[in-house]
Amino acid sequence: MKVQFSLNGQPAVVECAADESLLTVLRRAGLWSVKHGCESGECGACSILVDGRLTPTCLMLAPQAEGRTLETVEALDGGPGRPLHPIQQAFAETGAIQCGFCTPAMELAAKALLEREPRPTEAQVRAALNGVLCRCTGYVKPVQAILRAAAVLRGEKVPPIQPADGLTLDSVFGPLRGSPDPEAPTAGGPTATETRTLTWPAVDTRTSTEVVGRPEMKVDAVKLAKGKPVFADDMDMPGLLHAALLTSPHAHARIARIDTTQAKALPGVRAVLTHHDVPRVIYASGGQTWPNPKPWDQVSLDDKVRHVGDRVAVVAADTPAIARAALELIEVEYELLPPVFDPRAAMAPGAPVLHDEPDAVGVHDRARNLATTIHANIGDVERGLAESDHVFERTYTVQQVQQAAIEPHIVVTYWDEDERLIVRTSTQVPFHVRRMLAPLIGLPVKRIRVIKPRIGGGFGGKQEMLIEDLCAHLTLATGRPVRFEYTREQEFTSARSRHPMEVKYRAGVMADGTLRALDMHVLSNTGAYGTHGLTVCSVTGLRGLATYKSPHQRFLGEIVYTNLPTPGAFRGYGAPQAEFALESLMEEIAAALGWDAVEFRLKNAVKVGDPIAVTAALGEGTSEDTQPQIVQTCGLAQCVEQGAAAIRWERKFDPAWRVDPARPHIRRGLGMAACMHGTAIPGLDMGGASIKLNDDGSFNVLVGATDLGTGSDTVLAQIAAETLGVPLNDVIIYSSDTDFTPFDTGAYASSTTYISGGAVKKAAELVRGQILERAALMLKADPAGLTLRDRRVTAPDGRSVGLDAVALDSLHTQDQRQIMATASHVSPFSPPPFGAQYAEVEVDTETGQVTVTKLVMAVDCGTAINPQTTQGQIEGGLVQALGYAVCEEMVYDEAGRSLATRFGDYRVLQADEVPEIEAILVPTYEPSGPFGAKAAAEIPMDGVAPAVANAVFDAVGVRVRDLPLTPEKIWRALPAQA
Amino acid sequence: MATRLRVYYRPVDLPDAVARLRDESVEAAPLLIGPRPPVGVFPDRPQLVDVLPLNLAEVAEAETGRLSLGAGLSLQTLIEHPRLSSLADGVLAEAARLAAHLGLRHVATLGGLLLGEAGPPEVELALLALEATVVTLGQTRQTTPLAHFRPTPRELPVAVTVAASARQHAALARVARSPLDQAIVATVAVLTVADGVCQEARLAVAGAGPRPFCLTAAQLGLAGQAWTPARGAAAAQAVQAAGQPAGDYRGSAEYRRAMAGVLAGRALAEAWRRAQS
Repeated sequence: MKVQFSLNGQPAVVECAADESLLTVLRRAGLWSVKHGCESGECGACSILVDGRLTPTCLMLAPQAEGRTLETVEALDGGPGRPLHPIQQAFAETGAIQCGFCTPAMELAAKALLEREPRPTEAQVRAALNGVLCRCTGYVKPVQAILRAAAVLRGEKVPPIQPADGLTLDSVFGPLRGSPDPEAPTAGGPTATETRTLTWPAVDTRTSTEVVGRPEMKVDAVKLAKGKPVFADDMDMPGLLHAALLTSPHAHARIARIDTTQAKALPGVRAVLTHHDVPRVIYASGGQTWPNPKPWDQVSLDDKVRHVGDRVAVVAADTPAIARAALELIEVEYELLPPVFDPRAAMAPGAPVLHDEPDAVGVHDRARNLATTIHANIGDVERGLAESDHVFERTYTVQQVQQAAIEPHIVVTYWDEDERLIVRTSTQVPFHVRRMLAPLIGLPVKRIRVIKPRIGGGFGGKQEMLIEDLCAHLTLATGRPVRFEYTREQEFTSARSRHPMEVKYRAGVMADGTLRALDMHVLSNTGAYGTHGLTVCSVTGLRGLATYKSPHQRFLGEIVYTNLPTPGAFRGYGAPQAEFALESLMEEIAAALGWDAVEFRLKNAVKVGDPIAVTAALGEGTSEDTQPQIVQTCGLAQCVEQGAAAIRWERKFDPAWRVDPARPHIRRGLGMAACMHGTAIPGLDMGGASIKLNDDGSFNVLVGATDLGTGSDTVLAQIAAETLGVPLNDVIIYSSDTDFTPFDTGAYASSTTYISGGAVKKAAELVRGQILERAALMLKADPAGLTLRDRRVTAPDGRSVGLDAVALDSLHTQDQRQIMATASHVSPFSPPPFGAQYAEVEVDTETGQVTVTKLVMAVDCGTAINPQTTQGQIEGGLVQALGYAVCEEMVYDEAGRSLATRFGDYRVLQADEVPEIEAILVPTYEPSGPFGAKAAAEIPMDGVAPAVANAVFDAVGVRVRDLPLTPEKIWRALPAQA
Repeated sequence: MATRLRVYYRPVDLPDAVARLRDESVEAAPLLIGPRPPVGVFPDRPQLVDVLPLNLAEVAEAETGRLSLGAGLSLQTLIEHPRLSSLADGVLAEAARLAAHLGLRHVATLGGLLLGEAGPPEVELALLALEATVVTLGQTRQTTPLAHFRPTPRELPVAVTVAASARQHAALARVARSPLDQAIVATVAVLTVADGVCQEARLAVAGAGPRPFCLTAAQLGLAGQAWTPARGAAAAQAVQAAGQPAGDYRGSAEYRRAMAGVLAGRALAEAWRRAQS
C-alpha cells in the first residue's frame, strides 16, 4: 500500500505492507538516524517527531503516518557541509555523545522541548529526555547540552567548554575546595547551561601539553550528531537476506528430532541451518587472547540445549517477516532433561550434567558441573586467622545483570569481489572475532575481514564472538549477504550478562585494626557455558584481595555450570561483585571494632611503593615466576578527601539532617566505598598503531583499538597530535578493520588508553624522529636541537619549516620516502586507578524503598587525556552501577524462563530518575602510561553498590548483603519486621 | 503459527469502525496501544482498525458532575489538558507521568489502556478512584463501571466518564524499585470532604490482588467520619484484608499485602490533608 506524509519538510510517498512499522519503512527509505533498540517503544532510540511530538516509530504502523508531519535528525542541519544545528553543536561540544546511538532521538526530544519551552529548567529537560534511554552518559552531558543549546537559541552568550580552572596536581594536594551549594538551581554561570550535576576536570600542570589534557570534541561527534549511517546496520545491499534465530524454550533438553522441511518450503526462505548442517567445531565464545581460556564447550549449533534461549536453528530469508515465519515451521522434538539453576545444587552428587559431550575441552569436573576452579595462596591463611584478635565471616550475594546496550548485537556478512568474507559487526574485539571465526566456518584467517563500524554501546557484552558465526554460516550456505540482529528479548535470553556470585570472606584483624588475613571463596554461576567464567572470577579474586594489605591471603573460585543464560564480560569484569562484598565487609569490621570506616580503610589500603601480592598469584598471564605489581601512583587518600567534601560527609554526624519532619518515615544516610581497579592485563594486552604523514602535514593514524563509544579514537588521536605537534584536526584516525589496521586485543580490561595509547605514542615518536631528520636536512641543522610544535619544525636560531613542506620534500623532492612508522605496545605493569565513591540516600522505613539522591566519585586515573570524555565515562558508569545497586536483575521462573525480557521490566534508569552526580578527577602521573594516564572506564562500576548499602546502614541501621537493594529486602531487614 | 496482519483498515466514521469490528467474517481489532505496548505493534489479528483518526479524543461534560474522556485521548493529554490536569488535585496527570515515558505517552491512549495487557497501573487506579465508567459501542451502546469492564473483541471502547467535582481531593502513593519503575504496589485515594467529615471516599489499589480493586468510604470505615490516625489505620487494615496478592519478582505476597496497607494509609492521609488545606 502507499502512504503519503510530509518528511523533513518535503512530501513523501512510500510503499509498505500493512504490517510494517514506521521504523522499518523509514530505515528502508535511508533515514538511518532512526535506530532500532527494542520492539516495545521503551528505549526510544527509534523516536522521531510526528506532528512535532516525540514518538517511538516501532510502535506505529507505517500506514498510521498517513497525512502526518515527520521530522528526523537528517533535516536538523541544512545538509552535507552545512553547520550543525545549535542542538547538535551543543551535543558535540559538551561531550553528550558517547556511542551516539540514541543521540538522534535525544536531539529531537530537545528540539520538541525547546520549540515549546525556550527557557527550560533542568527538570523539564530531564522530563523531555525520559523517553530515550541512554546507557552511556548517565544523562549528565545530554542535559547540559540541551540547556546550552537553549541558551544559544535564545541568543545568549554561553561559556566556553574549555575548563578554566580544573583540579591540578598542586591544587589537589593543597587546600580543599569548597562544596557547591546544593540548593543552587544550576552549577553557576550567568546562563543556565549547566546542571546541578558537577564535573571537576583535571589539568595536569606537570606537562605543558597542547592537546592532551584538553576537553577536545570527539573526533566522531559531528557524524554522530548528524545521525549519519555509521553503525553496523546502517547499510543496504542488493540481495541482502535477513536472519532469524530459533531458540530453545527449554532449559535443558536434547534435540531428538528436528525437521526443517516446511520451513525450507516457505517461499522466500533461502537457508535453514541446524546442527545437522554445520561442522561441529569446539570453541569458547569469549573474545580473548589466543589461546582462549578453557573450557572450550560450545559449537555453533548443537543437538543439546542448555538454557532457555539457547541456539536451535537459524534461518535466512528475503525479509525479516519471512524469516520469523520460517522459525515457526521448524519442527523440533525435545527430549527434556532435568534442569539445575543453583550452583550448589549443580555441584551436588546426582545433579544433571550439562556438559556430557565428549568433545568439550578443559571442563574441570563434568560430573560436578565445575567448569573450572581457581586457587591462590599467599602466606598461610589459617595461621593468619588463628593469630588474629578478631575474625569476621560474612557472605554476600550479587545478582545477574545485563549490559543492555541500546544497540542490539548486529552483524552483516557478505562475500567481496575477491571472494573474501566481510564481517561488518558491532564488536569490541574484531581481531579476536576474525581468529575465532575462521575455524568455525572453515575459512583461513586471510579470507576473512572484520570491520567494526561505530558501536551502539558494548559494556563488555560485545567482547564475545556471539552471533558472527551463525551469520557467516548463512552467507556460506546462500552465497548472499546476510543481516542478523538480536531482538531485545534475545538480548536478555541469548546474549551475555554479569556473573551472579556468592562471595564469602573470612577476615582476621588485629587489635590495632591491622588486617592479618583475608580468605575469599567465590561461587560463580557461569550459566550454560564457560566463556569468560575463569577470567571474570579471577578478576573477582584480584579485586577482592588487592586493595587492602594482609600478609596471609587465600582465594578459591569455583565456576559452576547451570541451566541459565550464560554470563560473560560486563564492564568491571568481576570487580563489582568483589567490591560489593569487600567494601561492605570493611564497613562491618570497622563498625564492630569501633573504628571510623574511612580511617580503617586508609590504614589498611595499599600505598605508593607497596607490592600488590595477589597480582603474582592471580590473573591472566601469571606464572610461577610472576612478580607482584608495585603501586607507583596512588591518589586514594586524595579521592577520599575530595569525595567527602563533595558529599558533605559531615552531615552524617548531624542528627537533624538525618530526618525529615515533613516525612517522618524517611531517614537519610551517607555511605562510601573505596575502589581500586586495574589497567590492562600485564604482559598480555597488546595494541598496535601505524602513522603516516600526508602531503599537507596531516597524519593518518591507524589503530586496531576499538572505540565502543567511549571516545578512545579521540583519546588516541590526541596522544598522536600531542606527540606530533599538531592540532587534533590534523589527525585522521581510522580504527578496527582487520585488513587495514594493526592488531589490537580489543576494547576490554581498561586497556585502550594505556596500551593502545602507548602504541600510538611510540609510533608517533618514531614519526616525529623521521620528521626531525628530514627537517634537519632541509634546515641544514642538527636534529637534536629542533623542536616540533604548531605544525612547524623550528631550529634554535628561529628558522623553521612547516610540516607540509617536510611532507612534500620527503614524498616528492629528494631521497623520497614515506614518513611513517608502526609500533606495538605491551606493558609489564597494570597500574591501578583508585577511587572513592559516595552515596546519599533516603530510606523509607515503612516500605523499604531506597532513593539515592546523590552520587559522588573522585577518581585517580592518572592523567585524563581528555577530561571531558573521562568524566563522561565516570558519569555513565555511576548510573549503570546504580542500576546494579538498586533495581537491575535478571530473574527467572521455576523453568528457567526469563521474566524480564524488555527494558521496562528489567529497568534501565531514565533521565528523570537519576540522582545528582558529581565526578571529580584527581590527577596523578603514572610513569608507565602515555602522558601519565591510567584507566578510568571500569572503576565507576565498582563502588556504587557498597556505597549505597553502607548508606542504607547509616540511615536505618540494617545491613543487606544481597544485591539489588530492593524495597522488600530492606523492609524485611528493618527492625519492625525482624 | 502467529496470524499475520494482512489489512490495515482506516474507517470513515465510528459506525464504520464498529461494523468492521463486528464483522464475523474478519478478525479485526482496534489499533490502540496502552502504557504497556505489545512487543511489536501487531496484535494477533489479521486486521487492525485504526480508530485514532476518528474523533475519539474529546474531553466533554457528561451528565452532571461527570466528564467524558474520549478513548483516543493520549496519556500525554491527561497531563496537558487544563481541565484534566487540575481534576482531583491533578491525580490523573500525576498517574500518567508515572505510567509511561514521554514518547510512549504520545501514542498510548485511554482506549489502549482498557484493551491492553496489565502494565503500569496508576492511570487505571486514578480512573477507578474517580468512579470511571467505560462507554462501548457494539451491538448497542453500553456503559459499564470500569471495575467490571472486560474487553471483548467486538466492542469498541469510545469513552470513559469520571466523576468531576471541585470538592474532590486526591493523592497517589506507590512503592517501586526506582522512582519511575512500574509500581510494586500503588494506591490512589479520592475524597470528598465537607464540614470536616468524609462524604465520599474511594481508594483504588494495584499490586495487591489479581486486578486493581477499589474500596468505598463505607468499606474503609470513613463514611461520615472525621479523619483520625486511628481511622486511617483501620482503613489501611481494611485494604490489607481486601487484598489477595500473589507474589512475583518485584515483591512477595506478604510484602504486597503489607504495602497495600501502608500506601492506602498514606494516600488517604495526604488526600485528607489536601482537602483541609
